[in-house]
Amino acid sequence: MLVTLSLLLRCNMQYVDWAQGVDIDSPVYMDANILVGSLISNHPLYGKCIDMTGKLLADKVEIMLSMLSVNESIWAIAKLAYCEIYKHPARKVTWNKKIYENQRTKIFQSYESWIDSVRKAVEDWTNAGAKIEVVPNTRDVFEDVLGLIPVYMKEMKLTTGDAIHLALAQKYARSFLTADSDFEEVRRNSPAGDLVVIKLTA
Amino acid sequence: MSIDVMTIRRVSKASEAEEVAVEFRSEFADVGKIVWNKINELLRSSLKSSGFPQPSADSIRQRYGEMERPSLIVVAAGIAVTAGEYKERYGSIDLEYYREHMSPELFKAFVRNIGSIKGRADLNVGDFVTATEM
Repeated sequence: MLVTLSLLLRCNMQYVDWAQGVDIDSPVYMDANILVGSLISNHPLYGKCIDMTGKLLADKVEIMLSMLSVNESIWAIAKLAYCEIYKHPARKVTWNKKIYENQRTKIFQSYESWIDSVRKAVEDWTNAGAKIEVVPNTRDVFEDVLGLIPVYMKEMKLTTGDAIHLALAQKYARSFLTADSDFEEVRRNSPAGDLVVIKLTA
Repeated sequence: MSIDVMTIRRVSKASEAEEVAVEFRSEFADVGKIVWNKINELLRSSLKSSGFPQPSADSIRQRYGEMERPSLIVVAAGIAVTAGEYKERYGSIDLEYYREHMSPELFKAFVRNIGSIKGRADLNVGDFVTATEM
């Protein structure tokens, strides 16, 4: 009887495409691409990222960020600065640690404000009353997150980074906002959980 | 771009330190104009009383022409941008909606940061990697 009840109560993650009017339940885990997409004015996803971010801020939704998101955001912006210096097409350029080390001085000479833009946005929004929290923030949940990472890597065919995002979102949030198509697997092979993955497409 | 930037422009060349003229103004015109004019006036009168004759505004204009003053659009209190920047950063956004649904402080913080990077349009934001050590 208990087993039957447990099975009935068990729910699976949902995967929906973002559109105006889609409900975003609080708290929300924000992937790096949504954060960066809100800062780059001429990107094709800019308008939609602003729709999402603006709605979260206006509705006083709890926003969860992780240091992984911050890392990915700043790394992508550093790549963008490198592309801007040499007028390289961003989609085709090779970007790695070695190039970064060689170009770091030039990047900071010309684009230090870009590198600092994530901090500035988060700090500004928080100081103005936005509810932004960094996760993981508790040890017991952190251990649950650690346990989910290899499961998602194996079953959802995710990279380590994406598995960490999904695990943090599952443990800390009701909604996971992303523009990364690698999470499509959640639509096909939905794991247990009450998380709604909301995918933003161009 | 924030308007909270000030510059000092030398509008007249110093010649053997006989004449030094400066104009102290904000990076963008019209915002806080009265204050900047007052500062400019004080600075010039101070220099004049220290023995540096100050040319009149008319003579500066005749010699150097009017400085280019881009027209600005005020997005929020204390935040003004050029028409081009406005179109790029806010042109596709319903700012009125956010103005109505956010506190003035949050709205200001929101518009100050969104679109602050004028990067290349082809960055694939959908597929970020973190392999910074690779």
